[in-house]
Amino acid sequence: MPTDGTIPLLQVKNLKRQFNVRQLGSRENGVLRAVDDVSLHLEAGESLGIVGESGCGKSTLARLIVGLLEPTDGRILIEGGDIWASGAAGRERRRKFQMVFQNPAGSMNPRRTVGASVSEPLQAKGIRKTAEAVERMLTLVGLDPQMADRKPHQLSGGQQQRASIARALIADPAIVVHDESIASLDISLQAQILNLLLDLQKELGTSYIFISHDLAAVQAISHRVIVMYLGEVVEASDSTVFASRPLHPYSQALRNATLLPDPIHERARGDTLLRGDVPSPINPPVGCRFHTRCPLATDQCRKQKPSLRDTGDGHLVACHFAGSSSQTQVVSEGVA
Amino acid sequence: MNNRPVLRVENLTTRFHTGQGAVTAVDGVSFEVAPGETLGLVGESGSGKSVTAMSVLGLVPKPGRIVRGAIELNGSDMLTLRNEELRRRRGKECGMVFQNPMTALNPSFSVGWQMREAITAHDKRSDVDTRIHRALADVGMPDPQRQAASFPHQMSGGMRQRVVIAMGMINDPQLLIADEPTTALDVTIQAQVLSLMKTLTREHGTALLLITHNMGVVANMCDRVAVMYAGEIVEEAPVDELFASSRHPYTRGLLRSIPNPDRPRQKTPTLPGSPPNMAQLPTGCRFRPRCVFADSRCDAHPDLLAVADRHKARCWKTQNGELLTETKSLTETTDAN
Repeated sequence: MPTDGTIPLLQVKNLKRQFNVRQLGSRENGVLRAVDDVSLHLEAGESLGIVGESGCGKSTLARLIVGLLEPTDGRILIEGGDIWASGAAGRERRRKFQMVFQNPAGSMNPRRTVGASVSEPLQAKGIRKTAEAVERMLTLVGLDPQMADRKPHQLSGGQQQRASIARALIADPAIVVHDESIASLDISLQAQILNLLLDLQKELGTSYIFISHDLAAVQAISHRVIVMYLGEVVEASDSTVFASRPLHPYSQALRNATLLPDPIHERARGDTLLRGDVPSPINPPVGCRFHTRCPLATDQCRKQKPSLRDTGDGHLVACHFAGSSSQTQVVSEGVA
Repeated sequence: MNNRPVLRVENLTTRFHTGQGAVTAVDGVSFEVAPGETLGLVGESGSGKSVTAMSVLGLVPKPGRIVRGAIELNGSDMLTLRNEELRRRRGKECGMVFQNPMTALNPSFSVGWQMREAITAHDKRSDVDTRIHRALADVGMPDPQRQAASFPHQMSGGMRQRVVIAMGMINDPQLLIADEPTTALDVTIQAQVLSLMKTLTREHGTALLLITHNMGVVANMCDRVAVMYAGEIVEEAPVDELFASSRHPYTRGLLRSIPNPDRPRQKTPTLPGSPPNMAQLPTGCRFRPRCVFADSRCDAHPDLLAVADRHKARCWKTQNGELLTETKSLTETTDAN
């Protein structure tokens, strides 16, 4: 949070979203807290990465932020104004967001031309003459402007994703949320898209929220990184600091589980596997939600929920022991 | 490891006759897997790696057909076998693990029922229940009796994939073929499943043909690697050598295009372009349109030839002893901050 009193571009305050679910084989309804008390902020021109495994709530959070889902509780403020304010003010604020989805083929109308799809955000704003803007945008994302006349199926996966990015950026949004936007692409294309996003950010100053299960991809694009587990933020840090020193045992496990293209490193890898699976978010463990899989867990963790505390320089972590000496040992076992 | 290979594939060519003409998905692929060895078959989508695995198993979906080549499993030719005989060998001498455990398991039957089927298809006498429970315990399932009675939907993705691995290994095959076994799993679960596969294949001396697009998985699991591009193997080498000194521009580019988690907000060098349309392959070297090293020699199609000890590459340049000296476009790593 900036200390000079200016308002951040995006503030998410104590955001919660619950879903009522019918549990299999039981008549009772359960409550799934997909996003449970998440707060974050984003500055103009900045990228925030959100990483976590399936079921951690990262996609729900994405949909909440862009206004595709209404929160159960909490607020989302853009330039200090609530996106769910009633009437034109709220609508206007929700327009400042755009989203890029995982599957580029499924997120474009197969019957319309690429150009028609890309121009849609402009038409939604009431702008009729869009051809020139579409041409400029397609060029900017590295596509031949003639692609505007093609149908999505005539484009390759990488080209489709470039077109989705063009669509997201054409109406000059303040924030683009990427939900696993490179996950369905081949490795050589993933790197192309990551580089494109870095270039576009430099050129246009757009802020990104980049959501992925792939820690390396998140780090490649983000200024700051947030790690989620079972609906909660367990760590938030500057990405350079995070790269050298993740503090939460779950962040460390994620990092250790990220396989590197280096056989010598991989052979030396210590056996610090997390046991078990992610518990059900319908009945999350009491105390620290990670305690069932944590190598450091004590009685305290089973009883008392750790709060997200600042360990210095805005590096937030929700762990009773993060940064203590017993923990450093666990880290060093990771790579012997 | 001086005995004969468990699997020998020679000049395998598998073609699909589609509305847009014939597509040769696998084109003259040859490789061997030694007993107990893990060979990685790596490539991006459309490179032919999965079709190669399907061909080995005799499971090429229509309209695909193996048009040429030989596949020997334990010395006997799989392509001349009748269906009945093929069924007898498949699952017994060669187990398989597919990418998606939800579709590899039947949702209407208990896990134990399905494992029983896998055993009794090949062996009707043994104590089936004990074997099922032992196999489930081997893949780290707590309380195997209870797990055998449960249905796939009652399990998590990681648990299901453990069941699929247990089924693949249950007849103690000499070869296990795993097609993207961890791609559908979360990273922490992927680490568990890979470690399990490594332990199991080591303990049983099982050879593993591991198909993946993930270079991290390759580095973690494989003894040797074959890299596929546009239906062909373009490079083959022991794992350390491949990562340390790749001799094909495609492998080189692929390895460099993986983001480094230790260096945030840095641009990653990329391979330009995208893989070719298999119905309209470029003439000459198939990688030529994306290759920064290409010259006039590349008009002719190169063969896969030795470039070093146990190291083959399909590239005129490295076959000639020339180095893949870094050019600007490969090494460019601008700071993006």
